[in-house]
Amino acid sequence: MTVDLLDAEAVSRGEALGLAARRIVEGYRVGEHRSPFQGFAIEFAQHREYAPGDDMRHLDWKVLGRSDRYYIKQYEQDTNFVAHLVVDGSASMNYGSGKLTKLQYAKVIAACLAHVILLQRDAVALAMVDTQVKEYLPRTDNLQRINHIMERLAAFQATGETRLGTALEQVALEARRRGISILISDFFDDEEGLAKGLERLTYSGNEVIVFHTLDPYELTFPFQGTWRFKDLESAADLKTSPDDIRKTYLKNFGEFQARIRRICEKYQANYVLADTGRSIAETLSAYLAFRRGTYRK
Amino acid sequence: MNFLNPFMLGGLAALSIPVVIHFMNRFRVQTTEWAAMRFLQQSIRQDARRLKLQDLLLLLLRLLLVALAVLAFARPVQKAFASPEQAGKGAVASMVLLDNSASMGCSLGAELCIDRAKRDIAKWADEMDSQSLLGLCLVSNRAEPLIPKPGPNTGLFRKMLAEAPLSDRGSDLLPGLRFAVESLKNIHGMPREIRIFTDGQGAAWLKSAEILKLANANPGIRFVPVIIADKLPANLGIVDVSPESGTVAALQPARIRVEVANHGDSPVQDLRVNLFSAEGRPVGESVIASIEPGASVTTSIATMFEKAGPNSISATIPPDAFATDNRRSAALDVVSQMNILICEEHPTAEPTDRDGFYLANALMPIPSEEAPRHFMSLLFTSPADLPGELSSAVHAVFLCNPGSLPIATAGALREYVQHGGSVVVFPGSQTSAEDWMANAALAGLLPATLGPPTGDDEGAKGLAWQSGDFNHPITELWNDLQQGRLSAIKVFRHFPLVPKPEARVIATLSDGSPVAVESRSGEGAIVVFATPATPDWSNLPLHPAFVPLTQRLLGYMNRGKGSRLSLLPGEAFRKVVPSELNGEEFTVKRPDSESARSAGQVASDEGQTYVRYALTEKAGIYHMSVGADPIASFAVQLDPAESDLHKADPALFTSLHEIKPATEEATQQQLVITREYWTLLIWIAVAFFILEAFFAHFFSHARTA
Repeated sequence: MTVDLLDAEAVSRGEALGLAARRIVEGYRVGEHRSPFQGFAIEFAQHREYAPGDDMRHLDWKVLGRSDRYYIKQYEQDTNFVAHLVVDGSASMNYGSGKLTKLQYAKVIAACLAHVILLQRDAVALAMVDTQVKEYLPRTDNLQRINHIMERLAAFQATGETRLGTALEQVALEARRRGISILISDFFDDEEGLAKGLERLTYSGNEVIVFHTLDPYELTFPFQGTWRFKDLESAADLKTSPDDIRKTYLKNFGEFQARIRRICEKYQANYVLADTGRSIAETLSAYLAFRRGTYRK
Repeated sequence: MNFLNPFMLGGLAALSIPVVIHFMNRFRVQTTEWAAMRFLQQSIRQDARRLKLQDLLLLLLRLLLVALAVLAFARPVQKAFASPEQAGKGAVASMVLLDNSASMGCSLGAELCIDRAKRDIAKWADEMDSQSLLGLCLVSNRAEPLIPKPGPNTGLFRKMLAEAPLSDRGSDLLPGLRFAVESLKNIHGMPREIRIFTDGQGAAWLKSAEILKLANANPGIRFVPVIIADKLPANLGIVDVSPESGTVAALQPARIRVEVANHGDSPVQDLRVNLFSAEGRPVGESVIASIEPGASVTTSIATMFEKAGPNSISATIPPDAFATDNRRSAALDVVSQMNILICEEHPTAEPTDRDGFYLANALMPIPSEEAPRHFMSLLFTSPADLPGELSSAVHAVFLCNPGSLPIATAGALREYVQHGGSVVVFPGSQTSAEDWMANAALAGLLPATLGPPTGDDEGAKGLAWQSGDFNHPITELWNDLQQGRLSAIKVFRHFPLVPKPEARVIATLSDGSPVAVESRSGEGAIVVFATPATPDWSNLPLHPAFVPLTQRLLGYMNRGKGSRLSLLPGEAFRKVVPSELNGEEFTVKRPDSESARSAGQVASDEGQTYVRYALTEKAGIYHMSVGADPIASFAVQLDPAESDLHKADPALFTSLHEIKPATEEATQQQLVITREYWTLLIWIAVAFFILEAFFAHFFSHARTA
């Protein structure tokens, strides 16, 4: 769909991150006229000028007939749609076997989604968390703020351990209104904490989308020979022959993925596997296409 | 438990290889940062015990695999002292000698001796331990190794055995036994033996004393004669075919003597002997009335040759079990004329005054008017002119009362004899023994040393020739008293002769001193008498025996020349040819071939032009030609000893069996290998290898799938 122009250096600069995100998003939007995210309100609130990508079903044909102008009917809740982007900032997100670490991959996903959401004039809030919300950008629907979001996102450094449950509880306090919460993490945390966080978010009426960000080496464990593995979140290290334990590792890791899926299903969160070995455009378009299809139904 | 290759046990050090590889892998560690640490820890916790067991199992299998391979290469064996029943069992290094002498061509009914020997060898080889080492050598009167060093390749052994040819050679096992001993000397670690498959013919064991000495000197090697037949059939064979007179002239009556030997146990009556020309035409026959067992009888068959040049003749007797000696051929150089040179000081004097007068009459006892038609041509010359007259066309030279010979003459005579000429010396009053002995060429040539003449030529008292007990072919005729008595020859004065070691005495005087001595020199022969050929010092020239004595002397000496045309199998033939043929290609038609084939070039060496041919394994007539012109024929004849199929003394075989190991080393050699384990170890190693491969694959699959 698009050429992946991202590299680790680009992601570390807000401007470059924003540019890359816009390119990815524009690439996706070429030929598309429907937004993947839509408001929830049904009461009419006001008109606004038609923007490319708006659903033609909301076009006010009467106004068009009378004034030959394109206006979109907006509803009460639509204007209040807020997407909370939650990026995991634990040290484990610093792992990357390829060009990008999981954190860098997560930043680009977050940047792209922020771009899409702001383009359709909805609001975006950004939370970067580890054991707690480390940095929080309050919601904004101003497209002009996108650069600021990108810079903060780019400057964010992952450190320490994860305690996603605690962090999500804090995010849930901010997301009291119904909206969309998008979690981007490897979820190498205690799974109970994740479940509690999701429970809080869904309880407060949020639709939750989970981007389970994993490295291909974590998914396939392709190491040969003898390796010393140094933990990113602690000083621990471990020497082993991966050939000997591959089967067990893959089994355990598969079970972990399955548990995360089940937690997501339990709290009606959308689960998306973000394999950092795939291109971001591929990951996003696959998900967004899925989402648009769901709404068409 | 012993090891045939104990040095291979050093390979046990290879046991460290799997361990070293294991540790090398452990030390070659790569490092990476890792996020999903808890899954890793969890997996290791779950797999630790299983992995340890699997690794230990694989390590154990690999160590066992290496150990088994090393042990197999070291060839562990179980040894025990050989009991009499066990002797010959177990792995041995055996050098097989197959007798392929001519006698092995004797028929045993359904098969020849050599075929039975091959069958027996093949059967014996089938029963041999599979670890045995086998060598093969053909032995006749020489060793012809086919597999020079015993080895494990039984396929090659069988192939070489099947292709082993029968030869026409004589029998002498000693060269083959010596070769076999040498080839076994460097083999250790298993019993060694020489197994001789032979017909047991006595001729092969003539050197039994040396064979026993060889066996005693090598007690670590068993000598096992295998006699393939209990009894060989009675045999009648032709043992000699040759012209009686030595030289045969064209269009002159010639007598061919054929000697037949009866090696059977009963007399043979009325044996017909046929004579065939080179073209296969019957040219004469004779019947031998009786031959007693163990005796031989010579018959003389008259025939005639039409053309001068190389020719041949064959004699046959009725077939029997040993076919090879039922036909025997002889090559002849048929001459158009026989040239005799009589050398004397005064060749132009009146005949009756000449020193060669009596001799000339004895050589050609015919009226002078018939002399031109006689095949013999007499030429008279002086010592000074002798070198110019000598050539290969001169059949014999008689020196009658020679004085001091010029150096050139002495040298020419020596050359003449070296190249096949015959010289007879009748010294006389003009001969100075001192001068002759001072002449190195003459002193070296003569068969005896001449002393100053003794006796009184005028005195009535003289010495007589011996009366009987003649041991020389020339004079043995007079052992028969019906032929007259040589003791009637009186000698009044003579040169004392002291024979050289290689010389043979033709006759002696009554006091035992030699009166005529003969010896071979080079390819020729020389005879010296103690008296002249005139009646001055003795009455020999006047005695009736002088004519037959002279004729027999000439025949004997020329027979020697003719015998150069008869070779034993394997001997090289050489003949001087005209120098203009130098460099020409010559062909040879062999007895086993229908056509002539190129065999080389006429060569030249030391002033002589000659042809030489050495591929004379097959008995029969060989014809040599340059272009279409025949230049020589020669016969390869069976060794007469091969006709005697009587067996060697069985005590000899018993003596060989009874030779016991005398040294400690030899005692150890008597230990026989009762069991070898290397094949078993290899199979176990293969099983371990399969097991290891299976487990390695299974474990690997279990860990990574």
